[in-house]
Amino acid sequence: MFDYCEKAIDILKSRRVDFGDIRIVEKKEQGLGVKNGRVAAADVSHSLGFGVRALVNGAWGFASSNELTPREVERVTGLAIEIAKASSLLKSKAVRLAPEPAYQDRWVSPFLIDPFQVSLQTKMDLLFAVDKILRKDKRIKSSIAYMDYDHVRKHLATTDGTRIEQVTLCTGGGCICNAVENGEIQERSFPAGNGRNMQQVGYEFIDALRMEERAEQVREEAIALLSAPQCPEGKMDLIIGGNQLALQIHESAGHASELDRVLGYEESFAGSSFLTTDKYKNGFRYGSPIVNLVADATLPGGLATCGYDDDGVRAQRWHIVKDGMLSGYMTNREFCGEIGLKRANGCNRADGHSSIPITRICNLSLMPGDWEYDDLIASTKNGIIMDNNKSWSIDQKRLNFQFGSEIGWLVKNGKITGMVKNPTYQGITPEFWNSCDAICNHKHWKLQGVVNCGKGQPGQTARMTHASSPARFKNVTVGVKAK
Amino acid sequence: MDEIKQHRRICDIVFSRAKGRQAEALIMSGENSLTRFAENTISQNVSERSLNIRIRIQEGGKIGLASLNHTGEKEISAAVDQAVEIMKAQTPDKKLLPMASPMKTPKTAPGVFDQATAEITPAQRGMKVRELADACKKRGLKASGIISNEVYGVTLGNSNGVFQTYRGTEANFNATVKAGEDFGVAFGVSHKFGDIPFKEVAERAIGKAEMARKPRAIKPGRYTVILEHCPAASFIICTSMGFSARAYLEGRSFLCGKLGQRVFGKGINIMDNSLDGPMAGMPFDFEGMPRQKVMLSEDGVTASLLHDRLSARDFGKGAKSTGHALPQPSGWSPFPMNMSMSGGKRSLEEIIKGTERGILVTQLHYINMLRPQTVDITGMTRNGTFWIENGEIAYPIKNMRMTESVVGALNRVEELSSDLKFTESDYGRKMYVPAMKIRDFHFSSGTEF
Repeated sequence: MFDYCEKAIDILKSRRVDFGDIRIVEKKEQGLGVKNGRVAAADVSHSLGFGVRALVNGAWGFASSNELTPREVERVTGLAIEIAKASSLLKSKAVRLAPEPAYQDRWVSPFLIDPFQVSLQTKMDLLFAVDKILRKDKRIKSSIAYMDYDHVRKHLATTDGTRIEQVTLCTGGGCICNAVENGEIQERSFPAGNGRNMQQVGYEFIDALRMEERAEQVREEAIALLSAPQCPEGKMDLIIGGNQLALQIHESAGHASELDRVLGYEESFAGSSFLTTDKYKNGFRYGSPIVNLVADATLPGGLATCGYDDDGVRAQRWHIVKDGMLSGYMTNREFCGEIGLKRANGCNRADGHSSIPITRICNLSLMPGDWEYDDLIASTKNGIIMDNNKSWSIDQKRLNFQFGSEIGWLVKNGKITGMVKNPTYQGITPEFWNSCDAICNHKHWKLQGVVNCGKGQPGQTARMTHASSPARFKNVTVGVKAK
Repeated sequence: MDEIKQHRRICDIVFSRAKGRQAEALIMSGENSLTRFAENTISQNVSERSLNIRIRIQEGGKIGLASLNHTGEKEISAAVDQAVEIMKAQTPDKKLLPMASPMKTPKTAPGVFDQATAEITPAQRGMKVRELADACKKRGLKASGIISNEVYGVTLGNSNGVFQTYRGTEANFNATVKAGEDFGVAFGVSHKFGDIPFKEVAERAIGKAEMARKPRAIKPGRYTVILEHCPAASFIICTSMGFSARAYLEGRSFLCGKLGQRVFGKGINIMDNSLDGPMAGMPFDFEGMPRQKVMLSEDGVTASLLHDRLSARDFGKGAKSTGHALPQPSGWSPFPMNMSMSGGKRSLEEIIKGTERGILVTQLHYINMLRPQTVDITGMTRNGTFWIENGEIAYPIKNMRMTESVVGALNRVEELSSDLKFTESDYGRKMYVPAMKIRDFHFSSGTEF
């Protein structure tokens, strides 16, 4: 592969670009699914292609192709340069990349069992068995059991000498069912609702899920939700479980800390951020002093874990929020200088060979506190527990949010008193995180993979992981509904 | 080799390698060129060429799929072999449908493909960005957005003799203008780059931004609202899944138990039509069945569900495919892709003039479903929200969160505009819609901007 890379690099250098790179990405994926007792997905896909970036006169051009031949590498590299020249006609200032050493390296993600080597029969048998358990009650009108895994091999070569090969393997799976009765419909899922769950590991992830055991509970909770009372309206203490908390971290801290958004480069589509650079310079209390949000591209099993990002920046770990204070951003080599950083954090990623790398959320986790879960419940007088995300919406500055979960449980005087359906909550980001008064300890700290993070134009889908343990937020508006 | 010949060759390789098994090749290709700008400067400029060949093999009630993005005979044959291998590991499904047989499909509507749009250069897009940026700089404003031109193709062939091809083009202009801390937006979208009124869109976005300066806060609550075309599209598109016969069969549709009944208010006419008119597109679906024009709501009464071949069989009662299949198998199929809504008697301007007190919404942002039975959704206003007083736009207001039932709101529509637009929506899907005036629209909370 590096032969093709060298051809592109030779052209970029001969055309005297400021900077240029080529990424060749080969991806093998398999998706298996059973819905309502029938095969819903049984496919394998293979893709190979490349993308070339050229920085000319301080402006970017990018072109990509699925045809990896010397002639096409020549055409696409030339096109990237021509596009960059067109971009340079309308620039207010030249792009300057933050320096990073040139690396020659190979990085491979660890795993125990290669899912591609597990027999198809074994995998399909498991999915049919899980689906059958979900459908044991007639009120379950739709059931899905699924697994996905992919193997990605990426070669990166830059005009400043970097030559990196990276190989990753990710595996995910789970089940979902919908119970329907008298016009009511309720969904339960395991381990994750919208967006599924995945980790950068092998088939050991599927084994550890023990889906057949959990499917019983998923089915029974979906049915119980049909007759559960509605989530009450009002203000109460909110205890958020790991899957819902992952969404909370993702939307209100992850996207809010992407520096390209902060600087206005996503304004027309996804929006900007309330975490403006003056807050970073002057000090800003994002959350209560127990809130520590750490970005970590070295997190074992994290979906954004890598040796290097698509800028060729080596993986790092840093605070976004430290002791409640805004402490950092998700940065790439293009924008980090704008807040005075001499080195990028390594957050530039593309979702495949055909896409240009853009600033992305790294693995971002809420660090554990010191509470036992039972003590957290016991110390809650009037509260509600919510978990597994069902709906999400947040404004263009990442302030006003409304999120909904699959399931809720009321807590009265330190005891869980009953299940409620359609739980939702609303808040304003810094007020919400400042109301965090308890975070469970490391025994409850779990990884939640996000596989459907959309951003950019043309749209790209990225993955990352948010680890957390259950946390409590005081006096939150819950039960918001259409009236 | 031209594209159709190339795709026939791919199909022939697939069918030959399938060795008498049922085989299907779905070939999707395209080139998307997009210039993105922010802060009055080009920030990203890309050209992405793509190809995906999706192979489906069926035999004895079993199914296997494989995808690739190469056109070499060796690679295609290997993918067929993989699909066969996957298929062999399946449990037979006695109810698995055979692949479709050839059907006569309508001709592609004229105007969906424009060679000039396919050939637009980065420099041409850059000139249009410059015109907007220059206009903004003169007024102390900042522009962001995109200008894109895309060409895409779909070919579907199967071993029963189906062979359908479609090529389309699309151009988009999104102009978001920042005036201090406030924003305005306008969109242009067409199959033809040359048909986008760039100057008019730019002026509209600039005008909105300048009107949006210094917004005032109003309390959350129920208000008469006028959704301009873009938010109206975002709102109506949320009903899409409810018109699917599969969602109906699984109890996930707002139409469950209400087929043929009044679900929306009088005057609400929604259709799905890819055959002609402003939403024209692919005349066949992803099974190769002819797409039909389907009335989904006729004067507020639910008229028809959308079917693919599988949902039609499961539904019974003589139901037939309406040509709305997604690539099979799919948990989302059937699905409406070409929705439009009919309008009313007065223009948007006249509707505003006829409104004593209300809120004008330019765009809705990040909408998500809360409850499918009543299509309860939540989302934010964005890029220009205004208070209307005595028939005039009185002043800008701060953005608010709406938490509302689409089904409920479509029973409170007071007026639809006579001017309709082919417009962008929240999540990129397009729709042809009027602006809508709705009473007692629920805003559940506010913002500080």
